[in-house]
Amino acid sequence: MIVEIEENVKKLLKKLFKENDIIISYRNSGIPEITTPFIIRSKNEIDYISIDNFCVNNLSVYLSKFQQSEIRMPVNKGRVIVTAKPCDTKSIIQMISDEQIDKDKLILVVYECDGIIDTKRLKRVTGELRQISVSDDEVNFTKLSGEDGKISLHTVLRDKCLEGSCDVPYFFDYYFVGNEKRFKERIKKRSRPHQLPVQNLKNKAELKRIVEEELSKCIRCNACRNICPACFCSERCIFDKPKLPVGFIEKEVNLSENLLYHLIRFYHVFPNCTGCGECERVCPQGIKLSLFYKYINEILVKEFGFSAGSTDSVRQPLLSYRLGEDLV
Amino acid sequence: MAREGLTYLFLCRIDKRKKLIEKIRNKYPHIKIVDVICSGRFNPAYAFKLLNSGANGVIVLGCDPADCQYREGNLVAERRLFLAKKTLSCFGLDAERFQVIWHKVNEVNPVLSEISRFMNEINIINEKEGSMEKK
Repeated sequence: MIVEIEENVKKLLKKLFKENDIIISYRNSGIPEITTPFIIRSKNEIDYISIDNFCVNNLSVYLSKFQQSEIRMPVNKGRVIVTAKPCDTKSIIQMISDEQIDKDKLILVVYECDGIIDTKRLKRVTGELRQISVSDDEVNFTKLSGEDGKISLHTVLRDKCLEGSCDVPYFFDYYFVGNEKRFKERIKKRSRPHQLPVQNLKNKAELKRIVEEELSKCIRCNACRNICPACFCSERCIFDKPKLPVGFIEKEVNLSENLLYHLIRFYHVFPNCTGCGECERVCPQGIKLSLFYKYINEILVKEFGFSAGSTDSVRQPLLSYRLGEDLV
Repeated sequence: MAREGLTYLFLCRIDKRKKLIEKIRNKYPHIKIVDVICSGRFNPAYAFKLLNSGANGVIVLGCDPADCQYREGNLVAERRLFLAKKTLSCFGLDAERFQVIWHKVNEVNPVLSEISRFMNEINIINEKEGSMEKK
C-alpha cells in the first residue's frame, strides 16, 4: 500500500475526530501478515491505525451487526467514521439503500487500494514469517528461519482482486487517490478474463455433482451467516429459533439439511449481495460459495438491470415490482 | 421420506375458488392443498423445504394482476417466485418441479389443464431420474 495514503488518512481522521465519535479501521495484530479490525474511541489511538495490503476484513459488518447496540442512535451520540476499500464501499452503500445505516451519521473515508494479499496463498509459498513488507510490485519477507525471500505481488493476491472489479464508489465523503495513472495500469495488468459461472454448464448432472461435493463439506458453523454484511436480521434469524417445537431446519449435519440451509440463506441474501467474498474467506471448510452468488448476480443485472452496491437510490428488486414483466 | 410422491398446491382461499378446490380434490388425491393468505405471502423457503424433503412438486396459484384482494400481493409475488426458481436451478435442482399458475379467479378449466400438464412433466422427470439412479 502506498505509504502516503496511510499518513494522509491518519491526518484526516485526527482533524475529523470529535468527542463521542467512533472510528472503525484496521491495526496490526502483532503477527506480521495479519491486520485486524480496530474500533477507536479516543484520539490518541488513531496513531495505531495501519492500512496495508493485509486489510482483508470488510468493515461494513461492524456497522450493522456486532457493534449494533453501541453504534446505533440512542446509545451513540456521535458519528461513525469508517475507512474502507473501494470494494467494501459497495456493501456500505447497499446497507444504506436497505435502510440499515443512517447516512447522516456516517463518514466514509475511501482510499485507493492496490490489491489485498491472500494470506493462505502467501503461506503456502513462504511458510511462517518473521517479517514482511510490500513495495510496489514486490513482496519482501523474512522467514522464521532467518531466510530472506522475494515474491511478486501479482501471484499472491486474492482472486477477487485479480478480477479487477474495483471501481470508483458511487458515494463517499473523502477519497484518497494514490498515483492514479499507475493504479489504472495495475488494474489492466491484473484483470483476467471473465469466467462463466458453473451453472451455465449444459450438463446438469455435472453441476449437481459439483454442488453436492461442495455442500457436503459444510459443518453448519454459521460463520458465513455471521460475517455477511447483507445478512442483517440478526435476532430474528430463521436458523435459530429455539422456542419453536420443530425448527424449520434440523440441527443435524448431512447433505440434505446443508442444501436446505444454503438454499434459504442464499435466497434471503442474494438481492443485497455485492460479491464481497467474505463468506468464502471465513469458511473453515473452504466451500466455494461465490460459485452460487456470481450466477445470480448476473441474472439480476440481466433481468432487472440491478447490481447491488452501485447506487443507494434504487431499492433491491424484491422490494418493488413493475407491471407486465411476465417472468414466470 | 414422509412427503414422497405428494404434490403441494398453495393458494389464497377466497370464496370464488371453492368450485376449483373441490374439482382438484376429486381429481388428484395426491395433491395437498395448503392455504396461504395471499400468493405474496408465500415464502419460497416452504418450497425449498418441501422439495428437499422429497415432495414431487410445488404449485402456487396466483390471481391475475387486477384480481388480488390485497391489491398488490400478486405483483410482489412475481419477482420472488421467478428468483426462487432461479435459486433452485442455481443449486442444480429441478426448477421444473416448482410451478406458478396465474389465472382469473372464476376460471376453472384452464387451471385444471395446466395442473394435468404439470403432473405429466413431473412424471417424465421422475422416470428420467429413476433410470439414472439404476445406472
